Amino acid sequence: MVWIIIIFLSIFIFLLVGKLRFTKGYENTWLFIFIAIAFSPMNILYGWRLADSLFWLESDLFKFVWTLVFIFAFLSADEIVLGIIGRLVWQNQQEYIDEDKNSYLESCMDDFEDPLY
Amino acid sequence: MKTAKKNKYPRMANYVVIRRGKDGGITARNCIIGEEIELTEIQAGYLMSLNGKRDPFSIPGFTSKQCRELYELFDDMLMIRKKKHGNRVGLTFMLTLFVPKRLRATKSIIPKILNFLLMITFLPAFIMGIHSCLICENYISAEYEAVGLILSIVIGLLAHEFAHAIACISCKNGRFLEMGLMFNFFPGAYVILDDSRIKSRLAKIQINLAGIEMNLLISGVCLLIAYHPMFSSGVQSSFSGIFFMAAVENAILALINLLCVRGFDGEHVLSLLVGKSSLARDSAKVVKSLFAGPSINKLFGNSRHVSSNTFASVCTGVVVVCIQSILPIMLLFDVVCTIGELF
Repeated sequence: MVWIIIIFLSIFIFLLVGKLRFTKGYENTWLFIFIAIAFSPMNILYGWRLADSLFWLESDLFKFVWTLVFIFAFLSADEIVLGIIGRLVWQNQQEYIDEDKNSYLESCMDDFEDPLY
Repeated sequence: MKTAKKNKYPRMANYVVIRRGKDGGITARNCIIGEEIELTEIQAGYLMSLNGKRDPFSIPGFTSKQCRELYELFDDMLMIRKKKHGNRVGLTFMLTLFVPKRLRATKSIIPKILNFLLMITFLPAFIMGIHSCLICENYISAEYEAVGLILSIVIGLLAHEFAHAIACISCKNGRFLEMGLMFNFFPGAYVILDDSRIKSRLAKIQINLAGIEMNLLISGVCLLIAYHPMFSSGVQSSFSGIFFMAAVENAILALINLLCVRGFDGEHVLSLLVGKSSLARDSAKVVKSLFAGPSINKLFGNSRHVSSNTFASVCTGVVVVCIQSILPIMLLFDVVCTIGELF
């Protein structure tokens, strides 16, 4: 039953992202948001169940921390799997320009006074 | 001023890759920090002349002042290697275990076969391992659990990095530059790769996921050994605790690496999927600008089309920043638990 829900939810998200006009070019970014919203209840439920079953002898605080770890790990796994499918479906997407990509080396070069000039 | 030792000269770091572009320009890439910079012919000439056999302050063709200035520049850029086996990048100390002799991309088919086998076997192995664990009623021996814990962490970390290396060199222009152990807040392992010339995004994603796949494969195999009727009888049952701990530790390593936390494989993969060079850094910038930067209207801009995708970027940033918060919580929790157990 759970797998059927996951599959139908995923198909729905893909259709939604594909149909909305403003997502064009940034499909994976919008997939990221919709997946985080749609799969959160399931991640919370199964994260708590897994922490409760694995650490049933431990305190509630211990279980709570590990529940958070499991929730975020499941979220990351969902994002990665569906994100890969998204990239296969929508291959021509915009890239974000990162101005700080080479900031450390560029700052070293900016501080350098070339003795050869 | 840093001085070179008498018989052991600094050299250009093995993790620095120098290339000449199609326009004739020279770029130097520091593969540890993943940044590139353009160099002049003279700067590149000086850097490449540091081969460990000559004094960096008396290179032919340069005055001693030029040598000193250029040495200090490249030292600040972390492009010079003073010690053969150790290196420090910020607060992280790195102990080199292995540097391949041949630094050019390999054409061998063996890495391709190994990478393919890893891709197709990790998930079935993990699922079969979990299945064995759920259906089997065998008793898991608590003997040697501590041994299993330590061995599994060491083997899991090294196998994780080895898988990244194999996946990288299985790609056409991928290069494996170094492997070793690193010490920051916690001990770990590292591998330095050059995947800048790999054009396929999915290939880069596979390189980043290979480590997690390896940990899941080890976890599945160890669960099968610990629980499978064929193995869990007689002598083997005494050691089932080792395999069980190895399976649990490797599964936890895989799970934690999946998190979208800066420096982890999950973050690298999600950055590639979303199309940013660093999702964690970009998200921190976006959320910071919400609170301390320009107003929301200025951030979103005037164009409706641009603002909707900027809104998406902001939402992504908020989600990623929430996920980043798990790491300090976990670290604090581990410290508290450790102190609690000591007392």
